[in-house]
Amino acid sequence: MLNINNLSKVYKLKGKLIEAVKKFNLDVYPGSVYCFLGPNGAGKTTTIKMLCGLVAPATGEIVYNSTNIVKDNREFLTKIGVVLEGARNVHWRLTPFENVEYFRRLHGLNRDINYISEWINLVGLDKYKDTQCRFLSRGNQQKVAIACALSLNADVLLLDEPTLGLDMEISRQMMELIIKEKNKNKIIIITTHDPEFIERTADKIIIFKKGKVFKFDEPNKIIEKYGTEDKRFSSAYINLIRTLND
Amino acid sequence: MIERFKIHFNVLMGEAKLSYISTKRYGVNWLVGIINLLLFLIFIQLGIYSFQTGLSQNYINGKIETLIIGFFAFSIIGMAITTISSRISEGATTGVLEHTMLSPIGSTNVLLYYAVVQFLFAIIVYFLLLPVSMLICRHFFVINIAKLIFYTISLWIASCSVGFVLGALTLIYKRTQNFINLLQFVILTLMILPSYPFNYFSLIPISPQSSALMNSITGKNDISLGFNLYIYLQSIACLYISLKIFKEAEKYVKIKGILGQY
Ligand SMILES: Nc1ncnc2c1ncn2[C@@H]1O[C@H](COP(=O)(O)OP(=O)(O)OP(=O)(O)O)[C@@H](O)[C@H]1O
Ligand SMILES: [Mg+2]
Repeated sequence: MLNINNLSKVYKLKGKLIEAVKKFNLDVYPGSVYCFLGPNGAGKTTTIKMLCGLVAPATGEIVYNSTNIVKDNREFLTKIGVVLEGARNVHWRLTPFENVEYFRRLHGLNRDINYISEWINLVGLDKYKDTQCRFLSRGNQQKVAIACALSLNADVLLLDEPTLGLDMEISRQMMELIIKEKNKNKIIIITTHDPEFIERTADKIIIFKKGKVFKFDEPNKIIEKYGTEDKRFSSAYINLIRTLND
Repeated sequence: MIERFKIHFNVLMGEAKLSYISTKRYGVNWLVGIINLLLFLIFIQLGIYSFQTGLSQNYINGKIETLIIGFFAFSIIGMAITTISSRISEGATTGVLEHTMLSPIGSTNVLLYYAVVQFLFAIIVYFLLLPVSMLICRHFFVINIAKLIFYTISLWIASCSVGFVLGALTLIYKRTQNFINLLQFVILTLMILPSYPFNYFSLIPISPQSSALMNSITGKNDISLGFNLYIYLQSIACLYISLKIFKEAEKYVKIKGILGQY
């Protein structure tokens, strides 16, 4: 379990203070998919980066296996697979195969040719496995990023907009992959703006609004309570977020 | 214990493969660099030969030996002090800098392994270049390889420490990479400073290591045990301090939230 206590982040930019994430608590249990949603600039990426230690929190602690990983995350880093926001996850000059191999090595894992090939096939990149990533389309690069993160076979998955730019078919396969990972009793946190992805995979909805965090259960409950006649998550979400005061 | 060793070994292998692939795919850059250096050597030695009247052949040979070994030492220093910062700025553009920081063995260890791999690659190339430069200068002399390696390693450690400080700066300011080329003058100055035998200049990193190397290989002086010990202790101390500086810079960019975000 991952306990987040009083976590917050304040950035200083040109003398101005920006409250990117306001103090919040959250317990993240394994075996459920936690989806971070919210408008642009609400603090989702900042939170994901605090979880993996790339951004230092202003206050608070994150406890995993009774260690505060804000203080010492060496053990935790062996347990996580991360997809960061944007094009920050693949080495441009390596091929998809070499990327997966390199990322596994970077995390101290061995080169397992069959296992790596399996992942390359799973994300549908067998055709491009020998093409350098800088020549791949944006969506295909994203698939490499996902293969890199998932091939670590990590207990904790932190995925920042993993389905961004994926075509519908692969996006659907991704949802199935996430559910498969969830059934392996993993801790999964995903940020996304994709309503279908949320409807199909989310067990817990965490909404960020101007740095403030609001916790909800599964999407169906939100649709029931806030939904309009179309029974779409996106409509319910828009209604819901209007009621939340920041 | 064995688990940790395995993790470190795998990271090292990853960096080795990355270096190998980059060298293979961008080998042309290397080749251009080497050709530039060789051309430089040819011109300098043409210059030396133009002074020939009135100077003894022994004197000229001494100068050429200094030239070749100096060129060797200069290349090692140049390579070592740029490795880390170019890795940082490359990581920022190619997209793996943040993930380097996510390695469970810590970013400094990953970078250190990368530096070691680069050093091994460079050593092989420069050792092959030594006879080539002798051939170009038409003067062959015997080099005590054991001594050369002994002094090169301490020179590399000292240069690496400067490399980590520059890497720390690169984490914070992207522009660092642009002015690093200007450092060639600083390297030359450090090499010229008479820091052997021990004096105040010997306190500066790189300088005593380079003096010891030059004196031992071209001056054929036997460096005292004390000085040998000193150059190693000093270079290791410098490396230790520079790793601390790097870690502080890493903390700073994590607070600012600007890691890899230029
Ligand atoms: N390094 C930084 N320095 C100053 N402010 C920052 C920095 N990084 C992010 N911010 C600010 O912090 C706030 C939260 O940003 P964050 O990237 O976490 O948003 P997000 O929820 O991920 O948005 P999006 O949906 O667009 O990805 C924004 O107002 C942003 O401008
Ligand atoms: Mg974001």
